[in-house]
Amino acid sequence: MAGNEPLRVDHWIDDPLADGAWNMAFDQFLMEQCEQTGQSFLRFYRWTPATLSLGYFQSYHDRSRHVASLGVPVVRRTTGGGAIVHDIELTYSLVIPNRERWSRAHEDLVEYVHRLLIVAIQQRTGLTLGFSRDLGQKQLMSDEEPFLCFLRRHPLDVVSNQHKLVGSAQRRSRGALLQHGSILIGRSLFAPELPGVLELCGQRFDAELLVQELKQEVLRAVGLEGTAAMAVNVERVKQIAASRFGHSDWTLRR
Amino acid sequence: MDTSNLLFAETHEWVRVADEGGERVATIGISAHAVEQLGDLTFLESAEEGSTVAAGEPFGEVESVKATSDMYSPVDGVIIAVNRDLTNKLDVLNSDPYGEGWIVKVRLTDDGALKRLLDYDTYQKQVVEHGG
Repeated sequence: MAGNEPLRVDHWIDDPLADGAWNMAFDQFLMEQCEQTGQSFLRFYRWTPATLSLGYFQSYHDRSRHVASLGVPVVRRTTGGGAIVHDIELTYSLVIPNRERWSRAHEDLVEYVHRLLIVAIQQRTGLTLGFSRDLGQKQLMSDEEPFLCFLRRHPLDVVSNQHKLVGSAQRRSRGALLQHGSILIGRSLFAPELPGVLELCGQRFDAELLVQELKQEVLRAVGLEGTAAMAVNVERVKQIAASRFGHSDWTLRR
Repeated sequence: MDTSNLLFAETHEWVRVADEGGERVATIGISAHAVEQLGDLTFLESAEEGSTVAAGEPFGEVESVKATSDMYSPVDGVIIAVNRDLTNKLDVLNSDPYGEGWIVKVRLTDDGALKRLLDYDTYQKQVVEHGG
């Protein structure tokens, strides 16, 4: 994206509840599709069972630092950052052609999507949200970073009342950029220290309804409102899930 | 900084080729421009010694605060050395990207890919024209 131009996306996918290997494989599949066709994709998804996703560079053994999530399955992402407990949560992925993978301009994409979500959550819940950078939240040094993504702070994170509610990270290949992000809808038993939108706004909203409304807001913003969700090559996604994200060589690689 | 003996890939990796013990060895890193664009670096990982690399294929990843990016090999060959000192001193990539900031050394198995690389001036022109 350049300057203040609105982002336009070619296709969107509304994925049913799925496990971690499938969810990560699907994003990898979309990167392949983007590299081959030059088309862009927006995907919303949720997880069952509740799953811990590790940042690409995190050590598997570090999960012992977070006792509450020890009982849930784990998957390793291709994006960096901290671990996320995907439970009462909405994940999005945005895949766009990437002609210049090093460019700092790609941070604009994080800001753009987060700004959409700030407006959408505010409109639906009345909750006051903003960027971490604007609310005087301290950035933590890398050697002090907590295990969980939602306890870390980046200037573009979306926060409310000192609590992080949205975070995103990118994976850049030669031909495609994957940005995926997590919206914390509600508190999970597997990460009880993290309140979500529902707790912060007083639980006056139904989680499923809020998820649907957030999806519609984002679809409207990227020019996809009213269009049909895209069908995908399920066999290829299964193949990636089995060979990579569902395989212990990948999950335990560090 | 002597850049006259460097070659650059359009994907922002650099190569310096030298004869070492009768073999052609390519030292590989990422350009100062790429490092600057990435911002604060948090992790870097490359394939291990003994791994075969192919021109245009990934040989590692570098992570900045918000992004993990693939690094692509500019040459064909076998990795014979990995700069493990970088792991705890990623700031060297900022201070000396073409010297102490080297990432891997590769014993060339084919020189062909070198012909597709750019000299420093041409690479810099690409950076200016494409805005990085």
